[in-house]
Amino acid sequence: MTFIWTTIGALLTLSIYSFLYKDNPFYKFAEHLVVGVSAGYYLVIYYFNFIHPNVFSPVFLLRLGDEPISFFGFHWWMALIPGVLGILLYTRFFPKVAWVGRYALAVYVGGYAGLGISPVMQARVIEQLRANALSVAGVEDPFATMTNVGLGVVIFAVVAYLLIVKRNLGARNWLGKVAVIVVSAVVGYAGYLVLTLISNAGVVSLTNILLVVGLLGTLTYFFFSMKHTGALGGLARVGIVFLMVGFGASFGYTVMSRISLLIGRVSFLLHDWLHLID
Amino acid sequence: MTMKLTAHLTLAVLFLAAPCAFAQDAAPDTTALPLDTVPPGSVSGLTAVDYVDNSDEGDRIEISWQASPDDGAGEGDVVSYQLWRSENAGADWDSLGVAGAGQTRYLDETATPGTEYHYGVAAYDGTSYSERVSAGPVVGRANLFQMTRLAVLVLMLVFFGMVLTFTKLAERGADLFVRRIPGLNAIEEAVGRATEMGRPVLYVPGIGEIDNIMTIASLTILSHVAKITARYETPLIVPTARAVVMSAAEEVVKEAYAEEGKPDSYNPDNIRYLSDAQFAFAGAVNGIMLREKPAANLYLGAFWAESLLLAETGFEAGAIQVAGTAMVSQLPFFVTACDFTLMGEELYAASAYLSREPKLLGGLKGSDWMKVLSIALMALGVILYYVNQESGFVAWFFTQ
Amino acid sequence: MSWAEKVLSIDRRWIFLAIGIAVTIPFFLPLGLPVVVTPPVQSLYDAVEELEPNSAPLLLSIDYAPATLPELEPMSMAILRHCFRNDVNVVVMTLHPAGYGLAERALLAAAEEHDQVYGEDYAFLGFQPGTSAVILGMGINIRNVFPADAYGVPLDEIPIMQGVRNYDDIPLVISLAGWSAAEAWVYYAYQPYRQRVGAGVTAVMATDFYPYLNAGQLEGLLGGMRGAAEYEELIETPDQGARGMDSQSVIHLLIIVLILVGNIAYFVSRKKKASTAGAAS
Repeated sequence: MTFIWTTIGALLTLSIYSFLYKDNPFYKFAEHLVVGVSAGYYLVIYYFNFIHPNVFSPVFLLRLGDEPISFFGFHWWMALIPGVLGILLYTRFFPKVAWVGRYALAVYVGGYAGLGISPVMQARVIEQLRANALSVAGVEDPFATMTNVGLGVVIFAVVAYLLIVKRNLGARNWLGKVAVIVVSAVVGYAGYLVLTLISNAGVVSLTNILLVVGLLGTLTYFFFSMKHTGALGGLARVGIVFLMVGFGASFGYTVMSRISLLIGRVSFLLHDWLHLID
Repeated sequence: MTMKLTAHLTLAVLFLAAPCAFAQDAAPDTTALPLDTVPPGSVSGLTAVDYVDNSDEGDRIEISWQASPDDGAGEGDVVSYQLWRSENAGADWDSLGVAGAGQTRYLDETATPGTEYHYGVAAYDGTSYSERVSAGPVVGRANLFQMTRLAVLVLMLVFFGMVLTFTKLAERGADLFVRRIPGLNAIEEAVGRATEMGRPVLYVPGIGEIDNIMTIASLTILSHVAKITARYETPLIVPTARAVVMSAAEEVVKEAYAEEGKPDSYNPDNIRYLSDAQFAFAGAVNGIMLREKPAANLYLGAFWAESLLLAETGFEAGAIQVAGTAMVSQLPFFVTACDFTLMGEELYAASAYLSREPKLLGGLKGSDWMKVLSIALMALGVILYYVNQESGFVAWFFTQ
Repeated sequence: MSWAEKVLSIDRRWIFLAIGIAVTIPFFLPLGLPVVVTPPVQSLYDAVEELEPNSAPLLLSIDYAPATLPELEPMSMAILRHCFRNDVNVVVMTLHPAGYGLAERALLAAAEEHDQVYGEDYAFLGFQPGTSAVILGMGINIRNVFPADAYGVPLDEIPIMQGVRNYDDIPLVISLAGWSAAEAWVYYAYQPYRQRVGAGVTAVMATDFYPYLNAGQLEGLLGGMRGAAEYEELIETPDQGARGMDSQSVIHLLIIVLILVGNIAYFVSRKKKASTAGAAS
């Protein structure tokens, strides 16, 4: 019996993937199916997990003397207020009375904003300031290896670039190209060794210095009240370099994520459907 | 004969009684281990206070004392402390709990908020109690104000104050300086190139709803772009994914064309609602790119996973592309596939720069100076930390 | 057409095919590449390893949806197996409506493997909407938010929940989420109540969480299927996470090669265009 459902799932998966070759009716069917099914599924879940226990149950069942689960010790009519506000949100579809819905929206937005401002301010601003401020000197750095390797690679890239662009080595023949790469790799590795010595000595934490420099640079880049000239401009350029490195890392992580989802689907097809692998 | 019997009997009795006498001597020699009838010294400095912490409901009282003089010193025989609690000022005591030897505090977690309690503590050495010392009355109360978060409150007030001040200044017409965003030059260049080539400009305001701040910023920039396209009579196509956004875009573009004195050039068919579904929208926009071949693609607003689909197709079609979004996860894709990207706050800065709307300007300037304040606080914290690690400011601000 | 232009104009469907083949082959020919454990995963493992057996429970918030299942379910299985192997009590809940079925599935599967008894070794609280309100409410009293478990049994009748009132009685919370729920735990459980929080997130979101890890707001971080594979390596029970790592590595290598080739082709063709343009003018 489950084989039928697995097969249906597998066929739908293959229909969606057929879009990679060309748009076709199978893909269109599968896409519309998923939109419709998820809408229906979430509607049911939201009703039974959200509306029923929080609005319907206290208002109607409690009134009838039934004992639904209530929390914070509230009374039945307390559930009516947010329930009515929620219904008022739907007035946006009727232009004449749409203004009523704005009050409900205001309560909703205001409530969540108020709930969120303090923790977010703390978590994203104060804690981050604290972590970056007190961390520059002599702390144990679990990311030391990664930082040193990364900086070694950067040194390699910079040296290779300088040799190619400034001295124009490696342009003529293959031997030149190989020489450039070897020299850059040696310098990069030497840099890595020096950095490892520095971090092992525990005098200063390179990772954290990089963090502080990146933080200052990025904040400066997004500073709009002054022109980006002179020192401020230089710091902003440093910031943009860090931003781009960050975007590169983010891109790489996103690629990994998408591939993982692909692997999950292929695993489903090969293992759960065709039983070709164990 | 009787005398002999009596003597024998006496001897027998003596002999029989003798062991008893010896038996008495064989009993444990309690003179070496006297019963400890000396109670230990009592505790001192007993205090009971309402315990304050992060989830304080007023049901915890902290009792602390100084150790009995016989605890670890003196006679050294204290094994535990017994605690009592009374609700009527010591008239009758209920046993509350036991703290081990060496401990000097106990947390009563079963208090009822608002009830007045007295607490009593006595040291116990295995046989007797010290004199009970009592303290009170103490009442557990839920705190009205969480003093441990004072730094957050102060920062919030400073930040809101700055935003409101700048907004008021902007409303009164003060000239608040905002530097020109390089992305705006890129946008104008892109529109200029489309005009040269005689091909349309495609403006995608994202797939966010109208209440998404990115969509609002995007519509401000759309107004600016519409004015340029009106001036040079370049066709402007605006596909949208939300019906409400479409009506807002129609208003914005119509007004821009009217302001440029070209109300007849406005073509309402160019503001199109395509689909609410994310990838259906992306597919439809791709279709527009391939059929109508715009020379400039502008993606400004809230995008999700369809960002790369749009940008890549546009790149293949050979258009010049400028993107702007605050969705950090989509920025890498736009940076890769577009000629210029307005990142994060630059989108809001661009819309504030163009519209000079007081609320936008106030928010922008407020957050700008908040950045300066943050850096200053960080620097101050580092300096103070190295100068004086016990500094009150460091503790207050940094180590909560 | 020079080789550079040929490379740049490859029909992308060939690349899709190459990726498709690269994913499938390692399933049949496992390469057995080693999985190296990184510090964020190690810290989370250490935090779970330090938990006392048969004592205060670990709160596992399984907040993912079917869309992110391949990345996050291996994490939940690994963590549950780790806890059950160490006899640590586990309480599972979810903040996502679709997470209910998925949480139950993972929990019951892992519990059966280790012969754990419901109520004495683990419990399932179910789903409550409202993310931030739920997390904040649990800081005062769990029973305010979850008066009964997912099956209607009042919490006071469940042995492992007795004596667990709020975050003071929970040593560690781990949230596995593909949306903002993991951040919500940091904002609303760590900041106000200083509850120790660990997170497992999809790789897309992982970069956003490094600041929290660095600032000490998170005990540890699992990022994507790779994070799950590393955790499985630590508990020595390779499963879905580890199985996907070979394919992951092969595809990453393929993508790196494609990026390098594409970039070289791009620069070569640009130089050629510049030189031919120079020659023409």
